[in-house]
Amino acid sequence: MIGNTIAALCTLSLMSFAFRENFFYRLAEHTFVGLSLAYGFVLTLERIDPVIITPISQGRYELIVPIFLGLLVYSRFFKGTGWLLSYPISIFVGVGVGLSLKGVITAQIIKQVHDTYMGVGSIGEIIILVGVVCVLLFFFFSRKATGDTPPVLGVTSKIGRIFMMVAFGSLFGNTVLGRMTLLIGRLKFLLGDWLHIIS
Amino acid sequence: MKSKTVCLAITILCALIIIIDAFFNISIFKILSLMLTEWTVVMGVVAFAAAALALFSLHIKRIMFKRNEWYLSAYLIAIFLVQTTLGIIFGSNSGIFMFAINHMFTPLGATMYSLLALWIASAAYRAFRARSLDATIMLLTAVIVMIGSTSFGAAISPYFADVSRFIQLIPTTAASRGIMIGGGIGAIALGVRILLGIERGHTSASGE
Amino acid sequence: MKYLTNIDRRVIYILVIVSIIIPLVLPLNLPIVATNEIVDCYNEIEKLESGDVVLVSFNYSIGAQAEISPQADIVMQHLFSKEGIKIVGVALRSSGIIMMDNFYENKGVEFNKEYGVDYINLGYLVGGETAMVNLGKDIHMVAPKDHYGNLITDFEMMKNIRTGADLSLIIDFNSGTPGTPEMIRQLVDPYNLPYVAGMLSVSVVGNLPYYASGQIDGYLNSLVGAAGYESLLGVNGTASAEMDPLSSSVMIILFLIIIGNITYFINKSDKSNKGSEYK
Repeated sequence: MIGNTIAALCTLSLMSFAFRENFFYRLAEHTFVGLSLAYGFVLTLERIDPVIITPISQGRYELIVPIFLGLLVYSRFFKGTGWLLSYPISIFVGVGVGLSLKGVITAQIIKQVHDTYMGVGSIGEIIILVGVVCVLLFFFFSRKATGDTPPVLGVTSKIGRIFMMVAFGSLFGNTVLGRMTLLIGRLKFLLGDWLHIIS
Repeated sequence: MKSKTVCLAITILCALIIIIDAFFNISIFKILSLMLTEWTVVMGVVAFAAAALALFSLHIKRIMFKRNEWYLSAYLIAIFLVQTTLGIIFGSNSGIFMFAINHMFTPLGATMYSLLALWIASAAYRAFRARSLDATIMLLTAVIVMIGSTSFGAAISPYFADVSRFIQLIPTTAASRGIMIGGGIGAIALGVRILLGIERGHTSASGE
Repeated sequence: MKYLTNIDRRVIYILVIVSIIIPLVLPLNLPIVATNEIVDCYNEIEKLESGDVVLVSFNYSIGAQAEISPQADIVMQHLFSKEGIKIVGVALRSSGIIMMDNFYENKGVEFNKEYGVDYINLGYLVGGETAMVNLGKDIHMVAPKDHYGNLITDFEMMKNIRTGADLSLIIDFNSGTPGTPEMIRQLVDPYNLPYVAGMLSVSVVGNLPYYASGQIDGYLNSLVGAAGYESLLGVNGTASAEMDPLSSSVMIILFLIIIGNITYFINKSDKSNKGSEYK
């Protein structure tokens, strides 16, 4: 009961922002930031054992190198040594670029293009093929229509826009569903778990 | 060794190792790739305190210079220190650590996003107008998807769900796929620019 | 009419809140439909056989729990009810650990499954997409210990689960990054694994191409997906109870959109009439 009351007070403090910004909202906001930081900090601290200490104790001494590189991240807090941060950042960026190129080419391009043109038979698949081509042409050839612009690009641009408007409408509809669900969750907690008005 | 060239070389080398391992079956690159990804995780774990330190320095400056509502910054730091101490002493699985997480952090996090429902309602009333053909198409699609996804749609007619499903699986998928392919090509272009050394912003991370 | 043109935002907020509270207190019991993507999700889990290994990933934030937790609850209920399945749970976000306690550990106890034999909790894996890559290459390297500090080599079930190739299905509950695209790039496509995802409503449109191409075998769209899944299992759970307030609140939004457009067109025609008077 105490826990639920504290949770309810936190919920109502934050919800009060909808009507007017006030001290309780700012207090709740700072509480959230402090707890969020502490939670992530403690959990990551607990990962030091399985990720670093256990492998080193099993003879993986080469991990001293990334430990040293990770410590370089803290150089930004000391005057004159901020440039050392570039080294770990370079590794993060390099690995990130490698992983994304590796994944994007197959999962996001080849498979999607393949699925678009392969085995086009039904009306739905034809519509998808036309839609994908028109949307791509819309993005790659977006420019003001002049006398030299082929008329077909004007037509594909209009078709591409229609497809995108349908997608954005669908996105908006789904967004409304999602946001309402979040509010329902909180109201259900207040009425059920706290006030016991609903079972 | 403040050289940007050295940093660029490190970036290119790391990226090439991962890419070569992905597309060719060469054992040395498999070993190097696994090593690199493991090292990235280790570096991330070691750097865990960086975010906390950055936030600390911001709030401590607010307290030192007694800026507006500095006492809230003091409160934030106190909450962080108490909760972290409890976590270190008793562990993240303990009841005493999880009490604040379950009864304060979780409800606050959930409530923060639930306010969006109220704002989307207000925005839908004020801004969602059928001003043009594009806006009308968007509006009609949104209405059909919303009704089709809820129980009212099912209660009115089963066709609502079918039409909503058609809209999502055919034209929406087509547009999303076009955007995804375009975005993928853009990501490849950015990756190639980094590999060729044209993009160098990350090599001067400290701003020096 | 002037009032309808400019309704105070607080009145709108109260309308929305009341439209949610009334069906919560007085349920309408409207019908719930399980659409094809929900049935696909159900079938992927239903066709699992004894000895199959399932990787369950909890990657959603605290703010998303109202949308994703009902999905996790019902899917875990279905998964744990199957005999002989080996379930490996991971969290690729720190907040995922909180959710794992509620919808994973408790289900293990509820269905009399033995920890370390039927299911295991590998805890929070730092690194996001990098952790996914490492999971596929060597699970024992990325998680040498479970969430409770025990060496995973001490558990019989983990002896033959070493790489992505040893998995039979991936179930992923996510709310952003790392999410569905990352999982598909680093685990699903490289190891050609079946994949079902529980996701936020806002993520559905961006992930539909993956479903159309077969890279996602089934997905659950927020609360609607969870309610549909409950109807397939014949369970009247959390999600089913929340569908009525969801429907009524969406109707209020539609009502507000209609009012807004009516007043817009009336004002527009008033302005054009006044304009023609001065000509």
